[in-house]
Amino acid sequence: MRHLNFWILILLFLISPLLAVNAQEEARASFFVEGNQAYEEQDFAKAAKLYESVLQEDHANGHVYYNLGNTYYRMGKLGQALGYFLKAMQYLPRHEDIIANLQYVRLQTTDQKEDTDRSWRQIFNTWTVDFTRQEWIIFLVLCNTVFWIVTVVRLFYHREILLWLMILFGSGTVFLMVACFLKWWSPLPIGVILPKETTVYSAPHQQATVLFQLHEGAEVTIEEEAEDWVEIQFEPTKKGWVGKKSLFIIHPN
Amino acid sequence: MMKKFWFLEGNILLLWCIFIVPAHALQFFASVDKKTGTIEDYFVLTLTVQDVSSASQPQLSSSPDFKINYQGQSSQTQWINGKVSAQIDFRYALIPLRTGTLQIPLATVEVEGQNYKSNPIQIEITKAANVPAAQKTAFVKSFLSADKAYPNQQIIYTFELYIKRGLKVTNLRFERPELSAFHVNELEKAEPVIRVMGGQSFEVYTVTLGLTPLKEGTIEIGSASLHGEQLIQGRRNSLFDNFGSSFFSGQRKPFQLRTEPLVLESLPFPEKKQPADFYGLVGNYAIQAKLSQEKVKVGESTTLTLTVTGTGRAESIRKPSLQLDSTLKVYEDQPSYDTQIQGPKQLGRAVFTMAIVPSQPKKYNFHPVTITFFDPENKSYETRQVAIPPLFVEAGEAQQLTAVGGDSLLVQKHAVQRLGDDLLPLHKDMAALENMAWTYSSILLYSAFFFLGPLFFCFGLFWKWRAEHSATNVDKIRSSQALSKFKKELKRIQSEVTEAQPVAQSIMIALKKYIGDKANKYGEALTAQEIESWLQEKQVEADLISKLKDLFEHCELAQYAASSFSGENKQQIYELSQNVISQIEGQLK
Repeated sequence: MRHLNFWILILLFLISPLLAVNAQEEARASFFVEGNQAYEEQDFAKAAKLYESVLQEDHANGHVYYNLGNTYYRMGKLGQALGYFLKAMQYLPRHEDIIANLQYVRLQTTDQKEDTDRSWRQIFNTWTVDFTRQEWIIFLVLCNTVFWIVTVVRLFYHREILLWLMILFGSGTVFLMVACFLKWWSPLPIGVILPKETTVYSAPHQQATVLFQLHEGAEVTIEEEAEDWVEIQFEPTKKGWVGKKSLFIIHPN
Repeated sequence: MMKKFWFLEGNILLLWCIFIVPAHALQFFASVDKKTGTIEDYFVLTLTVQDVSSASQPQLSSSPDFKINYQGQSSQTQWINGKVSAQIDFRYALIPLRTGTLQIPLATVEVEGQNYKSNPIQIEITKAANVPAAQKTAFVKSFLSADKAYPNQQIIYTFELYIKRGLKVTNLRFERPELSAFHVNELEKAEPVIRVMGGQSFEVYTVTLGLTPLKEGTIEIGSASLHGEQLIQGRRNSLFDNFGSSFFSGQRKPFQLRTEPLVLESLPFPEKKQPADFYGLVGNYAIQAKLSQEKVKVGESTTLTLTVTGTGRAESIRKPSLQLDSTLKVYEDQPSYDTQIQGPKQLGRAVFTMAIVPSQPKKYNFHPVTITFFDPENKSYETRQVAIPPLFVEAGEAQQLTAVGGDSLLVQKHAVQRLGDDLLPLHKDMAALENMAWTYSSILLYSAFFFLGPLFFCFGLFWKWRAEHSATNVDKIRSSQALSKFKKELKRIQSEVTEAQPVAQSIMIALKKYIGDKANKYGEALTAQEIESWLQEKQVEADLISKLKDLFEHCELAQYAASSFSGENKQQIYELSQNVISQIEGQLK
C-alpha cells in the first residue's frame, strides 16, 4: 500500500506540468472569448485588458495583437493601436487584414515621414519583411537538409545533375544563413509615439535644446535606450531623445 | 632674450585667463540701447556673460510682443589695476509688435552645468510720430478697392512700400495681416514705379491680393508689416574703427514698417426678391449644357456636361439641380473648378459632368437647368437658364434578346463606389491561442534538423568506406579461418571416412585447401611445387616445407598402396598433418 502511494505521488509529480499547461490554455481561451464579447459590447477597456491577459507569460500571437490594435483604435488611442498592428505584423507579415488596418491607422497620423533612409539595414529590412524569423529559419533548415541529402546520394551516384543540385542548394544554404543572421541581429527596435504631441530633445534631459516635435502615431527607430530616455530617429536627419514613457517600443521578435 | 620673456608672459596670461577667470563668480545680465521708442523703432538687446572665457549662446524665451533677430556675439578681455576681466556679449535686435509697456523676455545661459537668468527689463513703446509721408525716408500703406462688399465678392487689397530713392535696403520681408475670414488670391506682381510726393522721389513696390469675404459682418484686417535692413555705408574714421571689416564697410540697421488696420463691411444679401434657390453665389455667370451623344441605344451612355462661367470664384459654384426621368441612370463625375485672375477680376469656370444611361427606348426631354446668383454691380438677383437637348434612345441588343428569349441575363455593370472606411473586424478564430513566440522546444527542433544533414552525410560516408573495404576483408577472413576449417575437415575425415584411399585423398585436399585459403587461391588446383614456392616466398622454414612435402608424398603413396595407410600409421598421419599445419600457421602470422 505504501509503495502504491509512493508511485501515485511520483506520477502526479510527473504529470503536474502538463496539467498546469492545460489550465493556462483554458484560461487563455476564456480570456480571448470574453475579450471578443467585451469588444462586441463596446467595452473596449475591458476587451484590451482581457486580450493582454491572453499574452501573459511569453505567449505571443499575431491575431491577439491585431485585436488589441482594433481595440485601442476604438478607444481613440492611435499610437497604441499602431504599435499593436506593427507587433501583429511581426508574426503575420502577409496577413491582409493586418496590412489593411495598419495602413488605415497610418493614414490618420499627423507627421509625414520622408522615406529617404537608404542604409543597408533599411534595405535589408524592406527585403526580408515579408517573412518572419521563424519562416527564414524553416527555409534554412529545409534547404540545408536537401543539400546534405543530395551530397549523400552523390557519394554513391556520380551524376552531373547531382553536382548542380549540390551547388544550388549549397549556395541557397549559405544565402539563407546570411539572411537568418542579419534578420536575427540587424533590426533595431522600433517605437510609436503615444502622446498627442511629444518634444524631442538634443540630450536625455529636459533642459536640453528642443529639436522638434512629434505627434501621436509617428513611427521611429530606436537607436539607444537609457534609463528613462530613448534616443530615436524619425528621419535620417531628425534624431533626438524622448522620454521612454512617450513610446510604444517594439523589439524585433 | 626679451622676445622670449614677452612670449612666456603672454602664454602665462592666456593660461591665467582660461583657468583662473572662470573661478570667479559669474555675472549674466541684459541691457538695451534705449528704454523708450516708437512702434517703428528697433532695440538692441545685449546679453552679457562676465568672468567666463567661453559660454554657449543664451536661450531667449519667445514673446508675442517682439520679433527677435540674433545679431552676433563679441568677447573682450580687460586688465584693469592688475585684475583680468573677460566678458562675452550676445546681441539681439528686438522689433516691437505692439504699443505699451513691454517686458523683454528673460534669457537663460548654461555655464559649466549651471543655469543663470538675466535681469528683467521693461521698455515703453509709443505710436509712431505723425510725420507727413513726404518727409519720411520709407513708409508703407495699404488700402482696399472697396470698403463694402458682399460675401463671395472679390475686393482688392493693395499694400504699397515707398522707399526714398537712394536709400539702400535689403532682406525685405512682407508679412500679411491675418486673413482667415477671406479666400485669398495672389494677384500678379506689379513692377516698381517712381512716384514724386512733396518734391521727393520714391520707389514704390506694390503687393496686391484678391480677398473674397466668406461671411457677413464687419471684418477687421489687421496691420501688414514689412521687415528689412537698411544699409548704411560709411568710411572708417581711424584704423581702430570697425577693425576687421572692409575699408568701405556698411552697417545694417533693421527696421519694420507697419500699415494701419483696415475695416471691411461684408454686407448681407438683400432679402427682397431673393429667389428660393439662391445659395450665396455672387458675380455674373452664364450656363451651357451639352450632350456628348443625342442618339444612343438602351444601355449605352451619353455624357451631359454643364458649364458655368463668369466673374466670380469657381469654387463657390454648386452643381445646378437637375430633374431627370427615373428610367435614366446617372453616374456623376467629380466637378472641375478653375479660377483665373485677370487684373482685379477673377474669372471662374465650373464644369459638372455626368454619364447618363437610358433604360428605355424613347425620346427623353429634359427640364431646363437654371442658375441663380447675386450681381453686386447691379445689386440684383439674376437667373440664367439653359435647355438640354432631347435624348433619342433606340432599343439596344439587350432589348432585342429580351424580345426573343425572355428575361435577359445582360445587366448593366458599373463601378462600386466606396462610401466609407473602417477597420477590418476582429479575429475570433481560436488560432489566436497558438503560441507564435520562440520556445526552447522549437529552437531544439530546428537545431536538430539543421544538424541531421551533416549526420546523415557522415553515415553515408561510413557506409561507402565499409562497402569499399569489404572486398579485401573477404581475403582476410578466408585466411584467418583457414586453420579452423582445416581442423574441422580433418575431424570430419577421421569420423566419417574409413577406407584408406579416400582418407589419404581427403587429407591431401584439406592440406591444399588450407594453403589455398592462406594464399587466396583455389587450393585444390595447386601443385606441390607451387605450394613449396609460395611457402618459400612467405619465408616458412625449409624443414617445415620438407615435412609438408613428405606428407603430400605419403598421402599420394597411400592412394596407390592402401596397405601403407592403416591403423597406427593413419593416426600418425592425422597428427602430423595437424602439427605441420599448426606450425605453418604460426610462421605465416
